[in-house]
Amino acid sequence: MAGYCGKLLRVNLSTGQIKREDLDFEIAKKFVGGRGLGSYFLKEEVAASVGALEESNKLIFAAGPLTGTQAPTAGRYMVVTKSPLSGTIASSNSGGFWGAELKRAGFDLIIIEGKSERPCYISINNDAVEIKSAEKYWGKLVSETTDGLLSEFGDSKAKVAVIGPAGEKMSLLGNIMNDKYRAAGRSGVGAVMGSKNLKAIVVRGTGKPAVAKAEEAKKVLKVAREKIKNCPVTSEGLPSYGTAVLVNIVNECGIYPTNNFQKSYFETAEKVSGEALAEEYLVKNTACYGCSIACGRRSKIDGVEAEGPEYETLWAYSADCGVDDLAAVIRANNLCNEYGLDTISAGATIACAMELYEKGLIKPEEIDGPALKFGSSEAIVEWTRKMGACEGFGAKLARGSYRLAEEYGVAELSMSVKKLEMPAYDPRGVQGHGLEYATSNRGGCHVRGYMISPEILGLPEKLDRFSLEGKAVWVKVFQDLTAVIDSLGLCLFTSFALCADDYKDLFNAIVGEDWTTEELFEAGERIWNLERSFNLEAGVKPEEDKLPKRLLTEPIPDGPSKGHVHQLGQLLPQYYKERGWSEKGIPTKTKLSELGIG
Amino acid sequence: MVIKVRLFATFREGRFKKKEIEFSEAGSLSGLLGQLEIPEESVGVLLVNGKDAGGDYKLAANDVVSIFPLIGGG
Repeated sequence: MAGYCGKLLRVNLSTGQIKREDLDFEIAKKFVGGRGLGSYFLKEEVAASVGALEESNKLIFAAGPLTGTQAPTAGRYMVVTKSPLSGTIASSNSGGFWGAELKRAGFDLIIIEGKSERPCYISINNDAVEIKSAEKYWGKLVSETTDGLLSEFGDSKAKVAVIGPAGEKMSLLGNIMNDKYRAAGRSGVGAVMGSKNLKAIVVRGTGKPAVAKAEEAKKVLKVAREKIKNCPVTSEGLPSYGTAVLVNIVNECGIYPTNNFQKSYFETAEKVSGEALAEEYLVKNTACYGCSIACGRRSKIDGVEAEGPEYETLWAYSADCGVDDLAAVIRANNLCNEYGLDTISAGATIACAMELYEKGLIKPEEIDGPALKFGSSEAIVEWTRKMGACEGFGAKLARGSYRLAEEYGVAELSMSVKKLEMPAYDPRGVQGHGLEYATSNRGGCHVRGYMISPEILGLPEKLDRFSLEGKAVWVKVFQDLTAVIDSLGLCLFTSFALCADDYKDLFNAIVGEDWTTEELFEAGERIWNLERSFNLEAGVKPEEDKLPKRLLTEPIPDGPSKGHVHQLGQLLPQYYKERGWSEKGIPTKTKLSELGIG
Repeated sequence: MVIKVRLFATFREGRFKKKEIEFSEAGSLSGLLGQLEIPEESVGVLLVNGKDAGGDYKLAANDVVSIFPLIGGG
C-alpha cells in the first residue's frame, strides 16, 4: 500500500485501550483519505443523533494519502467529528507539520473514543503510543502548553496539536491548534476534544510514506511544482501579501460585510489590508510542510512575534466589527490562537453582539466589559480574551452568534448558516458563493466550494457574479473537487495553479492507481453525499439550506453592489436537481447506490 | 478629463497607491494600462466604479478604476 501507511490508531480514553488496526485499502481508496475517510468512519461508528459533547461522540484525526509525501503542500490533515456548534458533521482542516508527522509515525488516522477521567494527552513516538497525564497543562495557553509538551517529550522535532482554555471549557467556538499557529478552526472541534479531557496529541515519526510509481511520480511532481511556481497567485500574490491580499479586492467589489452585514463596503479597509499588514507588521512569511507558496504571516506586535492574521480573521475583527485599527486586530488574532478560538466565529460573534447592543437588546448593565460598540478596538480585544477564558458575559459569547441572538429573540441577526458564522464575502453580491454557503455540509463556510475564485478573481474563468446562470453546476463541481483535495491531504490553495487532472496524476503516481478524472470527481461526489446523509440522520433538515433573512430581503445599502439581494429561492432547486437529489433536497436511493454508499 | 486610479498588491511596487490621472477623452482601459506600463496579461481584475470592466471599456470623467494583479486567498 503506497501513499497510505495502512494503519489506523484507535485510542479509547475511557478504558485506556490503545489499538492499531489495518486500514482496508478498498475502503480507503473509495473515500480517498483525510476528510472523506474520516467521514466514513464517523458515519459507520457514531450514531448521527449523538450529543456532540457526549462520551459516545468520536474525534477523528485523518491524514490523506498524499499527506507527508513529496507532493506540494502535503501537510494537511482533517479533524472529523460531530459538531457541537452546528449539529452537522464537522471536518476542520489544518496545515503546518502535524499531519505529515502523523504519517511519518506510520498512521493514516487516529480515532479517539470515550472520555478520560482526568486531563490527559496522547504521546506518539513512531509505534510507541501512550496516554499521559496533562494535569499540569490544563488551563494553560496554547504556546506554553506546546513548549511544555515538547520539552517533556524530549525531542524538539515532535509536533503538537493542542486545545486552549476555550476548548477545555467546551466553548462551541473552541478550535485545535497545531504547531502553535495553525488551526483546525471551525465547527467547535476543540470543544469535542475538551469534552474528552484530551489536552493534546504529541507526535514524532521517522518513517515516510511509500511511493508506488517512482518514475511517474518524479514527472508529475515536477509538473505540479512548476505550475505552482509559474502561477502569479501562488508565486507572487500569496507569498507577498498572504491571504489578506483579498481585503481590498473584496471591498472594492462591495461585498465586504461591514457591521455584521448591515453594509458591504468598509470605507477604511485600506488601513486593515494585506498591503498595510506587509508594510507595518510583517516580519517574514512562513510555510507549512512541503509548501513553496509560504502564505503564512509572521507578524510582530508589543514585542511578541506570532502568526497571522489571515484574511478571514482580518475581516471578522475589522470590517465586521467596524474596526480599522490593525494593531487591535492582530492582538485579537493572537488571543484567539492562544486561547484556542475560531477567529472567524469569534470575531463574527462579537459583531453580532455589537448589533444587539446598539439596538438596545443587550443592556449596558448586563455586560462586565467594554461597551459593545462598532468601531471599538478595546471591545474586540477584551471580549476575545473573555470569550477565550469563558468569563462573565464572554461565556455567553463563547457559544457563538446564533445562540446569543436567539436568546435575545432575534436569531435572524446571527449571520450564520446552520449556526456556523459566515466568513468574509457578502452573498448578495456573489450569487454562486451564497449558494455554496447555504448548501455547505458544515454550515456557513467558504472552503467547501470557493466560488469567489470564478466570481471575483476570474479563476479559472470569469463569471458574472450577479448572474444565476450555470451557478448550480459550478457550485457542485467546486464542492466535489474540493472534497477530493481535502481528502488527498493537499492545501486548497494549490487549486489556483493546478487542475483536476493534476490531482488525479499525483494520486495515481503516489498511490499506484489508474483513476480517470471522472473517477476523481465521483469520489468527491461520494464524500459530499456521505456527509449530507450524516447531516440528515442527525436531524439537520434541507430546510436549513438557507441564508439569514437579511441577505434575502434587505438590499445592500451602498457601495458597488448596492441594491442586490441573494436569490437563493431560484438557485436551490437547480442545485438539488444538479446533485440528482429529490426536489426536497434528499439524496435519492438511486444516487446513493450509484455512488456505492446506498 | 480626470480619472481616479487605484493600484493594489504588487502593482504598487514602483508606481503608486492612488492617483488622479489626466487622460485623453474617449480613451480605453487598455490605453490606461499601457500608460501605466502594466501588461494586460498580468491583470487579474479590472474594476470601474466597483464593476468588472474589459480592456475596451471607454473611460469617462471621474471614473474610479481599480487594478489588481492575479491574486487569490481565502
